[in-house]
Order: sequence, then C-alpha cells, then structure tokens
Amino acid sequence: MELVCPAGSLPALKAAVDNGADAVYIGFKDETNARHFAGLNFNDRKASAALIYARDRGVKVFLAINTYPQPKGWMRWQRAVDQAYDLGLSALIVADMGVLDYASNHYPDLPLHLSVQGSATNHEALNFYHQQFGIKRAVLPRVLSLAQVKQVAESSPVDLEVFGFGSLCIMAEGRCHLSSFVTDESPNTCGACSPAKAVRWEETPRGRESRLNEVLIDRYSEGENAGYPTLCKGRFKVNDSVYNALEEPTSLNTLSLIPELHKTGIKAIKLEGRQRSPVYVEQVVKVWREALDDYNREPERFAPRQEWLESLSKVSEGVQTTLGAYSRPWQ
Amino acid sequence: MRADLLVRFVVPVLGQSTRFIPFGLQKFTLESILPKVLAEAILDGDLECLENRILEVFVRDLNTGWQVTLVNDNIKVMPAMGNADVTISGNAHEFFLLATRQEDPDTLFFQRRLSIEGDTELGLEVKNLLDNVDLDSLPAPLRQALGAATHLSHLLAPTEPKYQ
Repeated sequence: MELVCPAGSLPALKAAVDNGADAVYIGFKDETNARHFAGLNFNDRKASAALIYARDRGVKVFLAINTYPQPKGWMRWQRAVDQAYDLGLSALIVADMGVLDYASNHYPDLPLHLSVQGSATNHEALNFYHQQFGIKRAVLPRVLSLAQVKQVAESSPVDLEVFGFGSLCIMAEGRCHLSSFVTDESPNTCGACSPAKAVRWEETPRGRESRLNEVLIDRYSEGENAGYPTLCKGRFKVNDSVYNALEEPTSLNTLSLIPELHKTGIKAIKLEGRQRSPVYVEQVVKVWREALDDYNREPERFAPRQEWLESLSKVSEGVQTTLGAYSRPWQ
Repeated sequence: MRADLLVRFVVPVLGQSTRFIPFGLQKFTLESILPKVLAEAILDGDLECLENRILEVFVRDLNTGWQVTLVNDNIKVMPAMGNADVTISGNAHEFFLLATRQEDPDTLFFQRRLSIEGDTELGLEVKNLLDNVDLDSLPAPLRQALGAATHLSHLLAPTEPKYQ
C-alpha cells in the first residue's frame, strides 16, 4: 500500500520524503484547499522546490484543490488547476464536480483523485465520478465501518485510499457545516474548519477556555488534555449533563487494521496533518513506514509495536486515539 | 531519568543565565539572528502580519519573556510587558524543544504544555512561518548551533518523558 503523507511547508515535505513517504500531498496558499490557514502552504516557488526535492528521490507529489469554489472565486480554482498542470504534479485531489469537469476536459492526462470532501461512500457514487471525470482514485470518508469499506472495495471501479492516522472529523465528513454554524466559514466553503480568526483561548483559574466566535465550546480543567477548537469536539449540556456529546478530542489510528485494509484491496493509506509542523510529519511518517515495511516483510506475523502506538498517541488530539467508524461491530 | 536531568538542570541553568545577560545584549543578539532565520519570509512579505503588531513569548518558569514586532520591515525586540496582541507561554524546556524542532507545537498544546492567548490567527501565522524556515538553508553557524543543541539534548535525554 502506498503511504500518502501531509505537508504544509517545504521542511514538512522534506521530512515526509526523508522518512519514507511514497507520495506527499500539499496545497496552494489560498482557499482552494481545505487547510487554508495563515502562513501555511506553498506558493509557486515553494511548490516547484518541493516537486524537485520529491522527484529526485522518487516520491510523488499530489496537490489538493479540494474545496468548493464560491461564485466569485471560480477563476482562482481554474488557475489552481492550470498551475498544477504547469508544475507537473503527479495528481490532483479534487472534490467539486465543476473543478473535476474543468480539469478532466482541459488536462485529460492529469490524474484525478476524488477528495474525501467529495464524500463518495458507495460504488454507484464512485462509478459516477469515474464515468464523468475519469478519476483514478478515491479517498473514502472516515464514516465507513471496515465491513462497509470491504463492500465498496469489492466493486469499486477505481483505486481506493483510506485514512490511516490523524485528527478525526465526525460522521458527516465532506458534508459538515458545523463550523459555518458558528463562524460562517467551513472547510468546503472557505478552506478552514474553525478559522483561527474566530478562535480565542484563555487560561483562567477554572482552566483553559476555548471559544469559537465568542461561543464557549469547552473548558479544560487543570491537567486535562486538549483538542482543536472545533464544535464537534466541544462539550455540551444534554439532559443536564455536560459532556462531549458529538465526539471527544481524539485522533484516528488504524495501525492494527493494516492487514485487513491490505486484504480488502486498499491501494493507499493517507496520513492527516498538513496544519502540523515538520517534526509531527517526521514522527508519524517514520512510524507508518516501519509498520508498512514490517507488514510487507511478514504479513502473517504483523502486530503493531507498543512504541509505535505510544509515539502516535503522544501527537494526537486529546493525546488519545480511536479506530473511529472502522470499528462498528453492531452494523 | 536522564530526561529529568535535562529538564531539571541544564535548561533552567541556561535559562536562568539569561537573567544575567543585560537586556540590551539579548535584544542585539535576537535582532541580529532573527532577520537571518526569517530572511526568506521577509523577502516574500510573509512577515507583514507582524507589522506594528506584537507577539510575546513568555517563559513561565523563568518569569521572563520577549516581545517581537516588525517596524518598517525591521524586526524589533522588546522586553515582555503583557500588552501583546498574542502571547505564547510555556516553560523553557518546551521552547527549547520547539526551537530545535524536536516537538510539534500542536502536540505541546494538546498536552497543555503550551498556551496561546490573544489573536490566535497571528500566533498561528507566526508558528507557520517558523515551520517554513528551511534549516538546511540557514547560515552555517546558526545551523551548527542548532545541531549542537539538539545533539546535547539527545545525549541527555534519549527517551522522552511519558505524558498521560
């Protein structure tokens, strides 16, 4: 299985390449990608440098143009596709049908991957994207159980990529507008969930208070691990009890599922975290490279090593991990 | 245990020594080094976010800190005064880990070892600018100094302390 790793900066891309990525995915410095945060991502010059560094070492570079163009910005999305083609990137990761249509018509030889934001969860949806836009691969949203992934994989017309590790979205991935509900901006519309300009943290005698557009979404008491300031991971009063009603601060970790994902025919594993620093990329890619190499050497004897799990937990949201939707025995 | 040694002795000793360095010298050193480290960001105009806005780095266990701002494209360093647009605070050990790229800021934030208060977007932008600095392209003496610091910490702390 191909290891697809995140990079929000050139040093992060180098860390991914140096630690065993098969492919690295990046974004331009604007709202055309779902990690549009101040100071993050690549301008043309940095993208060129990234491409050269990766190519020289036999590593592919994908570009995420995975937000939904707003009416006044269509030209910007078009230009991003043009730039990507001129740069000679290995593939585009796209969500919006308009962008897919533009890219497939203008650059039929540029491989297209359907982004997780496209939210295709069954083989009919995949057939549609394949027939209409000739996508080569689709990234499955983290809403499917392992049994469902198997079902989709059995009749998928394209290669499938799944998330292996990283911050977890709740069960409406690619269709979530919770961030818009509070801040008027969401990943699909503006490229950011909980945009930083709407976030305020305050260390108070009662603990760290996390506010989104002035709405208190959580208070972490002394010593309690924290997460990102997203509404889905906040604590809410439900029937007189205050708790993480939607999702706890946690990260997905599927190291233990490597054998099953491989047997299912999954072609690539994606690691989340373009917003993180180069050292995170180094730590996470190193673990996954070792794990995949271990599995490839002796598939029958594969078991995640304790040190890998500890290393991944340490960098996780809330300092804990979960199998997320993959493990839904009741389904 | 040797990790404790680093945390308990070496970093505080190095840190405490800043108290004996006159602020004028700290200011001169930082104002000389930062433009070199951030040369590319300045060239690309990425540091404009700090134009007339103040970032404060506060080291809790030393009860000391610095403010950084940009005035007419020049980086200015001032003592911590608590009037910053955004303040990042943590203990000396955490800043050492960040400076030598041994730990991820979000990781430290999740573990409550780092706080950011005030204008989150400005803090995030500066964090990302620092992540963008390509250590390979830094002037040799700076690169060597960072390398030596990292090496020293590895010698003293081959294993990270465990956090819950």
